[in-house]
Amino acid sequence: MDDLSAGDSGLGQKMPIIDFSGISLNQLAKLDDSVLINSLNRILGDVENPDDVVFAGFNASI
Amino acid sequence: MPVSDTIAEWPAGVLAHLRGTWHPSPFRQFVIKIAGRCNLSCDYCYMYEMADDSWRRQPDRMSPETMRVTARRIAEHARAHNLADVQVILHGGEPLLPGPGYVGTIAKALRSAVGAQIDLRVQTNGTFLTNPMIDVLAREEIRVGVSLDGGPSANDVHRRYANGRGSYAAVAASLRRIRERAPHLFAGVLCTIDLRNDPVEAFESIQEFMPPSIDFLLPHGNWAAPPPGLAPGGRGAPYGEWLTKLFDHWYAISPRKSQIRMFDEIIQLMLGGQSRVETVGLTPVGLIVVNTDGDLEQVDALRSAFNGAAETGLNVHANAFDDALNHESIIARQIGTAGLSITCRNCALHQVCGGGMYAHRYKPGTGFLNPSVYCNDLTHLIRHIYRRVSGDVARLLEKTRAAGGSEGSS
Repeated sequence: MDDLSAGDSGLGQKMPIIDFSGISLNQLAKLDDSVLINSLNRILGDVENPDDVVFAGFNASI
Repeated sequence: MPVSDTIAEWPAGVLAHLRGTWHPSPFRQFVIKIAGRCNLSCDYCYMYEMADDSWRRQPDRMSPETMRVTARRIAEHARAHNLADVQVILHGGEPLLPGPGYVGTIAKALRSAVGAQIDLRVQTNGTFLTNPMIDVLAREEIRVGVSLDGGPSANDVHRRYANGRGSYAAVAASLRRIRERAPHLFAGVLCTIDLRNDPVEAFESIQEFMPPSIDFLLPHGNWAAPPPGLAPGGRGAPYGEWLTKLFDHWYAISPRKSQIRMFDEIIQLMLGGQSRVETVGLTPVGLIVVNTDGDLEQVDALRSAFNGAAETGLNVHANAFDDALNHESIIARQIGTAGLSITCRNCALHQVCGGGMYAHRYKPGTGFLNPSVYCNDLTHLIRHIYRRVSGDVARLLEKTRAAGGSEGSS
């Protein structure tokens, strides 16, 4: 496993956001369904149609 | 230990830290404990088996009067904050224990007071999903989450009746019934991790029932009462390794099977999005719990920290939900980075882990102003997911650009 202690991420001061600029919903529609494609679809959907409110909900299966 | 004995611990005094910069976010998710007892005796249950014993003072079920007042308070809160919709989760104890007639009455009372914009759910142990119960849930449009820890042997290690008999057979029969009778109601499965179970076997066993979503839950614990198999402050990451093995299996499946919410939310945060679950990220928490007697409580996993940890001192019979918005423990979970320890704020991953689940940060003396007891595990998992996803996105971008270039030149 990684050799880590609490608070030591090994990634410097801030983990960079993964850059997906250049990928569009149209392009994703041509690709096979996968976790990654679904995640990109969700984030692009949120960018195009942002929810005015997001809240953190209950840790249950629903 | 009563709440007053821990008054110096975080989040006591949180408002002084904020210096008037805080604005509350309304509650949008109401967890209503309609039953105060359960027919199972799961050994890891935070309600009945951990630090808090306040359930002993609670009635067996919520009274019709408390239900009416709760529904009216929800409607009042929705109106006051112009909420287009709210979610209500029926919870317990075991919320289906009082029977289908009671559940139907509760649903009608809620819809009558709050209106059509209410999204009703129930989180159940799955042992009472008989055909009459499923019919009531279908009629009242109540979606269902079921707790199941994997296959028969994995599940029945912890999830047993008081006589020691495992619950798997009953739950599996229920899940087959709901798949056959009202599959649209089945929202997902909640699985508590046991390091002794193989993560891939647990996932694939649950897949038999085709849940849309699975939430893998880290066992509740904190710095004073560590989770099983974890040495707080040590350098190991046993839960991180368990989850990493599960992630690699799940991530490679195409076409996708069930969502795993913890992983989906971590990926969204890495892509710059927001989490919609309290376990990761820094999105303001929008949930409040109403106990069987009408007491307003914070998320009840806090019961695992110390006796009274979830209490607010408020009750629907005397207080509006807005009163709870001013409670220091609620405020502390709506202020993002300002609610984290210095260690967490200085860590590169805090926007993703969000300091971990609030209940897992507790340490006597400093309260909830600590990294999660699962810090090493979350770090191990998040770094792994980051490497995997960032590499795949980079490759996808290359392909996309190459395809765009050839299209442009032809």
